[in-house]
Amino acid sequence: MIYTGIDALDGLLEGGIPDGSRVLFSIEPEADGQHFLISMLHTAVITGKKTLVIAPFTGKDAYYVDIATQSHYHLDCYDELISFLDQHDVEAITRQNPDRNACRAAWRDRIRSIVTEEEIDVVVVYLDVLSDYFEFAGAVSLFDDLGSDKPVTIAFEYFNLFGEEMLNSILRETPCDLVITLQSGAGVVSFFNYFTLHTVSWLPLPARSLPYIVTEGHIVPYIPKIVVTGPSNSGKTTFVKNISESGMSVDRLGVLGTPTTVALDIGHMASKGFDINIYGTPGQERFDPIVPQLARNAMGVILMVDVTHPDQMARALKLKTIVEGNAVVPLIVVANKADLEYSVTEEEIRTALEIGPGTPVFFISATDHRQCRAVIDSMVDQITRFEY
Amino acid sequence: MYSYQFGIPALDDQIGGLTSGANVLILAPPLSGAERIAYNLSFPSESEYSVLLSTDERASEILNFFKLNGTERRAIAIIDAITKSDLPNVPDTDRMKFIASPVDLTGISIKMSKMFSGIVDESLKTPKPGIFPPPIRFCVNSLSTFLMYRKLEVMYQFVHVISAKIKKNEWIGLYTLNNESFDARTVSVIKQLMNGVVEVREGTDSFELRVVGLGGRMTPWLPYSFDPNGKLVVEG
Repeated sequence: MIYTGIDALDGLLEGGIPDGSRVLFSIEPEADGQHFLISMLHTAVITGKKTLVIAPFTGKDAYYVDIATQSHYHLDCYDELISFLDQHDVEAITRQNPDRNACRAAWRDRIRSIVTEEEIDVVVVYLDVLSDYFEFAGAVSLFDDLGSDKPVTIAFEYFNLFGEEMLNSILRETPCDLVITLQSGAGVVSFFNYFTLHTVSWLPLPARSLPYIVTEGHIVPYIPKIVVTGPSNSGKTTFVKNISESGMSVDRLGVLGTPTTVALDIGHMASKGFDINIYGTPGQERFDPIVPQLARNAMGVILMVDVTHPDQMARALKLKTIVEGNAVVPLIVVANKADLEYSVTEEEIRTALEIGPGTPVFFISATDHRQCRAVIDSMVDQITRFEY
Repeated sequence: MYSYQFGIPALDDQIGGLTSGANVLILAPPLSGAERIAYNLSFPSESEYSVLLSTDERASEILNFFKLNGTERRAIAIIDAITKSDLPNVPDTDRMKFIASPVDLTGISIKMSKMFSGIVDESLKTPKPGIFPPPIRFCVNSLSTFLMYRKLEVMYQFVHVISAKIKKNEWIGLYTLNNESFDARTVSVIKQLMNGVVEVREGTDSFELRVVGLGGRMTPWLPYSFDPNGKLVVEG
């Protein structure tokens, strides 16, 4: 197993990439996506895997310096584990073999001999000029049947200037076990990046796009919005406050003598390697007009009900309708205050809220941190694996 | 619509500056000073920025040239694809970024994107009078070098992505190409992405240029030279 070094991604892949897989990172213009392959390379060497790096665009020293400044990984410390074919080697091979077929054969021999002699576990390949010389399929096939006794994992980085349709047709011809595309959302300038799990051959994962930020060379996927809604006094603010590492609540003292949310609760937290923003809506009816605004573009909805107040189920159902609008997003129902005495059953809640068997219902107390975390972890699973 | 002036009277008279969103190929034989023509057309006017992608000349030399001709330091940004191969440790700054070789289109794409974001961010933080996004003159010197390293299909697509971005943001793009090193097909493929061409030929006494396209016009052949600071002087 090889880790990608990006916690959220390793989580999605159920641990990492099986040995002997063929992996493709396809970067589209402007996407800041080179750290995916670098992170994987770094994780491979720190776990003691012998690695071959083929980087036709640069020299070895410049490559190490780039990685040290961008990602703070010092690959030179692992030099004895890394074999390198850089710009000079690539130029030499091309110069000595002007004939295309001879050049191809020379490449194959060179790769095979390094992989077998150095007992390489992982090959990291920047396809750039190789795909110019031999086309994509030809370049990838240089790594077929490397003659090694053990499975060799091969990770390619490809700069995809030709768009998604072209990529799909290339992949039909030359399938890979894991394909991750990296794209950027651009207006005047590129303002956010997202990755898509295009193919995962060993898991039944749906193709899913998730945004990520690059901080100091590290990739952190994030979930921009999860909305918590439910009737007044069902415990939304307590829930958001309890799970947040930082956050705030806009509230006023209500008629019951307890604070009631009048605008929103905002919380920020991390779960399963994702950075997450959580928005709590007000529960009172007079704020209903702002709820759709708060819920707009949410990636998941947590509907909270008070088990000691089954009379509020109709109100909860109304909020569920408002929040969902026309969008289909993952939903979790939280039956709060389960530490108090109550008589309502899960079946009654499901019927009252009109939810199917695919929607989880958690009986928790929002004052218990561990139980709240379990809800968020389940939400992340729903978001990343939910079938639309 | 914003118009990019050259500050070269003969050219500004003839074509009245460059309309925003234009991509122009500078098609010139060797030794004709194509890069100097490109730099001269890329000099930023008041409130403008220049972004240069260089495969042929080091960032330090380009910077000297621009400073000599009075360009403000913050108004120029350079992506240098040659220095790093000799000096692997050269650090990136806000306005200078280094790529190991012209082969690395992925790196160039990311660093260009960061450069443009940096300039746009800065113009938001310290607003100057003028338009938004801030006008940028983008210059590639030269496509010839890229075409020696990468396939024509790949370069076509790469320039296509850049020129579309230039057009969308109402910037201008200037690209040099040596017309003697490539066949007619290569030149015509690249031309498809352009709105106009500055053609250069060897005249009787000096090199001459003319501007073709850009609103369906064609200027007469205009002899040109460079003053001691490298400033373009066009007669006519």
